[in-house]
Amino acid sequence: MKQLILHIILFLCVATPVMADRPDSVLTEHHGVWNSLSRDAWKNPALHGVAFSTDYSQLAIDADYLHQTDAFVLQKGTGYTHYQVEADTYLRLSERSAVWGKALYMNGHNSDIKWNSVSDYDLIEPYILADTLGGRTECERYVFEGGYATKRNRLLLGGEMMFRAEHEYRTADPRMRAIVSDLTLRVGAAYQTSCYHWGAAFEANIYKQTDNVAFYRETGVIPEFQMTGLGAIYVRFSGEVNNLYFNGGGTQIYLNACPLDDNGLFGNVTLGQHRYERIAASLNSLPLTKLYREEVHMQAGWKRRSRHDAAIYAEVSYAHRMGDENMVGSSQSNNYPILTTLTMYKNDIFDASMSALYGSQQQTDWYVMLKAGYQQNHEKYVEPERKMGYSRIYTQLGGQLMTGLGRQNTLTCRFNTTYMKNVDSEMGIPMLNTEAAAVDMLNHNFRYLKADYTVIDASVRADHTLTKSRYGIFAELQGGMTFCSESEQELRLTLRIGMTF
Amino acid sequence: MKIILAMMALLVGALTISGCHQEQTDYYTTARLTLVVPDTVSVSQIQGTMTLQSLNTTLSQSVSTIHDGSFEMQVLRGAYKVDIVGMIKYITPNGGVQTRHYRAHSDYTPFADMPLSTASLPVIFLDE
Repeated sequence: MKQLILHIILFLCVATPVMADRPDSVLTEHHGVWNSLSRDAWKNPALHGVAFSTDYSQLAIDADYLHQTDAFVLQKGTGYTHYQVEADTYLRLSERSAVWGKALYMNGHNSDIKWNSVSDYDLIEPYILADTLGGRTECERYVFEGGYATKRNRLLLGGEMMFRAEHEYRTADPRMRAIVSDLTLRVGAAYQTSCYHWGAAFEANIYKQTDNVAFYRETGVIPEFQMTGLGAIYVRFSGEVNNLYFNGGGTQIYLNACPLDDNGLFGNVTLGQHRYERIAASLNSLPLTKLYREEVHMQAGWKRRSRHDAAIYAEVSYAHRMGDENMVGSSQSNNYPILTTLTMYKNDIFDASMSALYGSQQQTDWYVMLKAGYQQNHEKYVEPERKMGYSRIYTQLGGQLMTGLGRQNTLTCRFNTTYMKNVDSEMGIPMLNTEAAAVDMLNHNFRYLKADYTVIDASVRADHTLTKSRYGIFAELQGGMTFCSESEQELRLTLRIGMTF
Repeated sequence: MKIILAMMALLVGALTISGCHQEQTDYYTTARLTLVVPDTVSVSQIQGTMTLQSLNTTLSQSVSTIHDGSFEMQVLRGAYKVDIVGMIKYITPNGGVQTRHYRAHSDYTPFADMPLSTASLPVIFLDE
């Protein structure tokens, strides 16, 4: 498989320049890997309004398949099969204003999830409801997004709204059902000087998830654990407290400095804080835990667009997550007093990288990207002390080739290889004070946290513009493999067909 | 430009003030549990072992040191199940000396106050 993908990429790289026409300029503007330099800036809707000079809309049907031979993280399962319909659009209303939007419906299933009876695991872990049995879950997702930006003299203004609704459930015991609604509003402004756009944006997020687990077979009831981090369990409210909801949300700000003609220094800073509270609905809405996440992301670099394009930039991300547990008193008339609140869980996530991008937009549009970085993740539970962590270095080599095949066809090829090497790892768990099954779960997850990974991804997309028409059709195939040093693999496949206009 | 800079400063300031969560790190308190013996009994010597089991984590800790009828122990703030067993030597109302086993128990006792959290439990004599 690995060799076949490499052969295909090599063939395309060698063969396409020979027979190349210029690729469709709209596609190169909207799909070029050069855009990755501006993704952070375009989170400011005012700057997204000047991101593209052309209209582009796409309607696509996707089939996504992911399979791991053994779950790298038990809570995320061994993979998924998702089918989705997605419509994206970016329209220039005039030289001064633009609108964009997205609608998505996804349906599918996730395989063999264990120790997790909630949705959005990455967002709210470790404060989840969990059981040892798990199984396959069905899921569906709806996403609606829309934005508008306009320019008044030197001032750019924009706003956008994003809404996501998810429904995840299981049709066999334990029958978990989670319903998520996630609303984000963002407003932004930017000021244009002779060389730069200076931008600032503010984002507010409201998050809610209702979650419950039911058992239809009376003889098959197993306890649902209220997890509190690194295998710790809030024993007092575990067992039959299966009705929860999570209230959350937060704010984020974006600061941007973008050179007008894509030549010069650029920088983006994102600061955010979010909190997610776990509430036991069946205990008169008793708040059990609250997770706080504070984060900062910075990107700074230099880029130049001319006959050959080049960019070099650094990125640093840091997230500090803290979990407060409420120590709950004895109930009186189903009212539980909160005796005290203690910060029992701490998690620091750090990632720093340097990237370089080089390419050209001449006859064929090609880019090569190189990235090297370092990441670490340390978790700690205060009493009884538990800790788990790892540090790793990684390098990434990627590339993109866009070329015309005749006047009506554009071929886009991408490849990406990443190697992640573990440099340090530690786990300390008080075995005697931890549920035996939870120890197995931690050992399983740690086995993959401290592993080395080789990730290979490649994709081929063919676009065909219909004669004398603004409509086009496309097909895209993406494939990828992850090779883990623990002798397990992950396979990813995506097939996408659709139309552009 | 000045407006944008002012707005940036305001946004950063607002987020910094509202965003930073203060960690609650006053984890431990001294739990003092006093044994209550009947008025008719004059204690001459008492010994025993107190075991506190956290209702949140189910972890148990024990202490066997007793001063003036009270046990003291550093514990994580929270709610506890208390079990005490021991022996007590006392002078009866008619002047005799008697030694008996006792126990004291509570399914729920909060130890959350800082820096000292107190509670009391009556002793139950086990044998005649």
